[in-house]
Amino acid sequence: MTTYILKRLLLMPLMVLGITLVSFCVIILAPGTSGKGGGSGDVRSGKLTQQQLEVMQRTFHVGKPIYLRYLYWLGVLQPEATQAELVEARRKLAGVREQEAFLEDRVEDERRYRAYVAHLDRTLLGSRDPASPATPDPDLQKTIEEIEVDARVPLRGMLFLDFGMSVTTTSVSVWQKIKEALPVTLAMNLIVVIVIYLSSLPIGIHSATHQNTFSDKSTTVLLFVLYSLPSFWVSILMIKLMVSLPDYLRLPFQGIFPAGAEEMATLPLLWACTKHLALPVAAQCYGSLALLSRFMRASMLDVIRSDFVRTARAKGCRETTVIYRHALRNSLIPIVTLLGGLLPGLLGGSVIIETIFGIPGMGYLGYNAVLTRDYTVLMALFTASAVLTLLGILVSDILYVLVDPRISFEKGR
Amino acid sequence: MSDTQPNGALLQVNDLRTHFHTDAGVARAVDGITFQIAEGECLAIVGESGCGKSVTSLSIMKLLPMPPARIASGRILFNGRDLVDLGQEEMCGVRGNDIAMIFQEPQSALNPVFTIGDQVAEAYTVHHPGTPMREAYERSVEALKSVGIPDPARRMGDYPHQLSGGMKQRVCIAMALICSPKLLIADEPTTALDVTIQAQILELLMDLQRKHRLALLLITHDLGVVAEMAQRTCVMYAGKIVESGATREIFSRPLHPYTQGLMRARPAPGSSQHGRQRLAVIPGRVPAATQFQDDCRFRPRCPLAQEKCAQEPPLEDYGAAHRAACWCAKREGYDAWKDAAAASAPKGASGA
Amino acid sequence: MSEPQAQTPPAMTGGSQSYWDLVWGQFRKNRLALVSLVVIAVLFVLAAWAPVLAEGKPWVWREDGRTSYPLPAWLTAPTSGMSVDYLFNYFFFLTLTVPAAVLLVRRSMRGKEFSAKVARKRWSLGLLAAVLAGVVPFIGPGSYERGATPAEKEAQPELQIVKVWHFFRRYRLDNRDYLGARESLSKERGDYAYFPLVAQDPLGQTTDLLQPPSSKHFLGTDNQGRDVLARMLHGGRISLSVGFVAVGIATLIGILIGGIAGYYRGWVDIAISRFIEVVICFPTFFLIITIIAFIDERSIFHVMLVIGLTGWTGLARLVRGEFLKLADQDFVHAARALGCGGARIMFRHILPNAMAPVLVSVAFAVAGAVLTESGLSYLGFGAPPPTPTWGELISQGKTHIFEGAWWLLYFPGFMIFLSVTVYNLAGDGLRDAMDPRMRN
Repeated sequence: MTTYILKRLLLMPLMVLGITLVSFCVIILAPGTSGKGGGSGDVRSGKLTQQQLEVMQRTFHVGKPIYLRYLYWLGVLQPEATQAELVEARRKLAGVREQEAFLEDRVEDERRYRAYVAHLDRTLLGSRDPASPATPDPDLQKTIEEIEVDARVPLRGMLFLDFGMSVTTTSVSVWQKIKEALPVTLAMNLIVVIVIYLSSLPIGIHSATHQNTFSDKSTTVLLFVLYSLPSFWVSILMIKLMVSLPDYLRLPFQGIFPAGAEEMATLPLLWACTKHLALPVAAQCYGSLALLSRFMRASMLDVIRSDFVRTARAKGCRETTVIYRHALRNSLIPIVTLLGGLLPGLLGGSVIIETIFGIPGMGYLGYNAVLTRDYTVLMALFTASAVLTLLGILVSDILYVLVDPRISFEKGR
Repeated sequence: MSDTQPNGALLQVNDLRTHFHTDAGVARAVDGITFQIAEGECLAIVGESGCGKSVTSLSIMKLLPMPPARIASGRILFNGRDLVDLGQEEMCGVRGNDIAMIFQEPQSALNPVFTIGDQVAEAYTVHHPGTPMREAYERSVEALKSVGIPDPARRMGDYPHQLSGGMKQRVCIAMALICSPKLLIADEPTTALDVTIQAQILELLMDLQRKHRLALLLITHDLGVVAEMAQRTCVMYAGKIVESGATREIFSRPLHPYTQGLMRARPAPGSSQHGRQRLAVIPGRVPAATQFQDDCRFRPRCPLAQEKCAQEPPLEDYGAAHRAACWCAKREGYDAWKDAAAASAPKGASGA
Repeated sequence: MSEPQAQTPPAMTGGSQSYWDLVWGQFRKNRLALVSLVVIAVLFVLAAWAPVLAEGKPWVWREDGRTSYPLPAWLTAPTSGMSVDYLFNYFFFLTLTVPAAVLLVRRSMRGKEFSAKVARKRWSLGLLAAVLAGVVPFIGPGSYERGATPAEKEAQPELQIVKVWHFFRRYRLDNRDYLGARESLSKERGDYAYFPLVAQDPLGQTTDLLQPPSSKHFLGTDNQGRDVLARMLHGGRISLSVGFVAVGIATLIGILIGGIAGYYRGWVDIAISRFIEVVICFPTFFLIITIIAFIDERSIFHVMLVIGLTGWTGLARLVRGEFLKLADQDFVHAARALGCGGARIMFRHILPNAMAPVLVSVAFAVAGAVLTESGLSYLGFGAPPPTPTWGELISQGKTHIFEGAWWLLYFPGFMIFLSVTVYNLAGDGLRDAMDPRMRN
């Protein structure tokens, strides 16, 4: 058993590398990062400014050989000269900002002074043109823009969690954005998974043990209907229902925090958050819940018909013992493996749900990044959610070994 | 034997009918069978697959899924108690405790996710609630030892997939006997095993039967096993008992044409030396349980069929508690078989 | 029972009762699955007939003594190379030619005795003729020419006219507002027009914004005054074709990759399996919208391609498992002993026997692809704007949710639900039919 888990763990770094490779291939696809004139469409259509495009192209090292781009992006290799330049740019930009602040102060003083003089002029000397304020030196402006681009290019590469800066939101790092969105999505998906398993197991068991009764048949039909309902449609219908309900019955359907969350005590806050989460969680889990219940029913039926359950009955075990001790654990084996298959769907499905319910999670972040062509954020999201899913699959693999004693011997040989 | 004194029987099955209600109609899988087993006796039920042997045994244990299956009539008296009337809850007290059962496929008869020890100990604790863990463990080791499992204490922690088929069947026997039941139902206990293992398991069963004065209901299609183990034999065909009696009697004087067919379909010892002798086959197959008529059910396959066979023959006694349900059992049946047997295998064929 | 099925390749056994006959026999017993199959067929026919049922162009238009045929022109001329209309218009002609062929073949065989071979030959000839006849309306010398004469352009500069030199007649395809012009037809001059059943243009904007269902617009109008029923009928073309094309692409990739992994084993299998595991980690829907967002000039075919390219992993795993299992069986060893090459063994010997579970999961994948497409359209990443899709209608319903535009929510939502359900039911029926335990 331990060898099996150890093997899976040892595979992890390799898989993460594979994930980065696939993510990188998606970057290559992106119009802004392939070819020389790439991304000009984005600029022309007004989705990106020239400067933002440049930041992105520098982040993904457009123009270099592909294998070097990959290694630079990972942070395994670093263009030495550039490295020094970037640090210099950051230092310079800090200097420029300081200078700007200083200049702004001076300009403000100057403006006040001039206004005073003008006032004096007007009152004392009659109308006289005040000297126009000095226009900024165009050469200096250009270099500052270049410096700004340099300063927003990541220093170390994504293996060190340095994904660079957001292309469209200035002076916010990608990592910062993900750090804000990740807990929301994780918490929601955790709740969803728990709800799915807690409700689908009893439903499946009940259906299987009452096979062909009315309650089994109606549950089966209901689950089938649920499985086929598009989640975004259901979400909108729920919102429509909430709109038509009276105030005291209405559940909130925007965001996850109530207004004025900062001042609330813990318990009321929790209650309010629960109410906020009710609709999105319901919308996200019913489909998988239906699927899992159906699987659970089928799996349970399979197990109930098996010989060892008959043996347990022949021993004199009572029906509840037979079902919950002998049959349940065996029927869980295929269900546990489904967890791994569920996760990518949940993380991806949350794009729609989070957009509809305005939940500031990874899906919402990704959706906005797609709309604004925030490529750096997109790539980071890709890598992060894939690695998260990988971890989830690892967990389900470990659970699988825990449930089924046979596996370690079959594969560990 | 005990046929004359049914009150002394441990288990007495009277006119048992088990029907399945399916979409294709009512399947009369077991259709009015009567037999009894005395304490310490071994009774074999023989027949082709689809004859209702397994359904009979599962009916006694009430292990059939009850919505499709139904015990339409009959009584199953165990120690004077009618099992048909018992509810599932009371039946749980009987299963494993008074009547135990082992199955055909030891590969799948053990729960793959629990250790051998867990499963054997459970069989004990189910009927002795409140037993300390220690005691249940020791009893389990003892039971495993008694069925000939080497190093039982170490085997307790193993999972079923780590054991061979023969070992698994031994574990099943240990599990069945740990509460010292009075009756053991063995449903084709050796069919899924290698020939050498088969012999070991049979020997073990005979041993245990003698030691514990265990009544054994042996369900099998293997006449060799029957000849070796059973004192009495019932031959089943299409849900009915067509012939019953002492094993020796049936082997030396089969009355029913079906029994005769079974005997001929069996390779006789030494027959291979003759070379030219071929195994006789009973033409056709057992009709589906939904298609049973009210005539003699063997009629379509019977070499001796005649007009009278359109009526169902009663189970008649032909002396020495040897009964058969055939209109022509006495004269033609026996004589014809004797002639055929004499012609094909001049010597040694009757040496059962 | 079905014991020998595990040993001999069922797909290779000839005879009267082949494996697929058995499956079909089982499938027919499942009434729900059969109904769902019929519903799928009806959905396809509706999509094929969409322009005939609901379109703003008339079949025949007579004005000032000149007759034109705008709808037939639209049916046979590609208005846009990047749309599925071409395909479905061909289906439309098939729905005419195939029943005709069936009738003719039946008639030619009535009252006479034929051997099965001759009958089969007749049937296949008849159907082949029907399939070819469906192409006829589309062919013609230099099939079409885009543009208008200078004089026409001067008269109506916004008019786009395609002249069609057709196989049997010559007519013009234009984007004139026939529905508006209908009012100006005068009976005295002998003008007339024959419109489809629902004379509403799925693309034509009117001033009836967000109208609830009425006798004029049976299912109401959307926020640009377009008829919802017409848009829903035409939207069916997108949903149905996306399901099949995308899953077709995914199935091809899945069979190829999974088959290679399962057949060659060893390091090939290890590499491919690890690759599949990596790809599975990516959230599919997110991946799809990102790639689609990268495409500057997006069309519905891009959407199909991307859904197909991201959806093959499950199938590849399934096929790999089947190949691993089957490659060890005797009939494969026999084929290898006969000197068959790897590709031949994979596709001629193993694949037909692995098809059963593949078909089941294809049915479910089609349902999933329909769901994905509607989600994409809802978010605005589906077919480009004027194209009607079910998801896009729902997205309008969401925008106008507070105005109570329920007809934009319920009708298209129900259509998505219905098509997804029937695919799932058909898949379920197929799986049950192939389950040897269900057979008796």
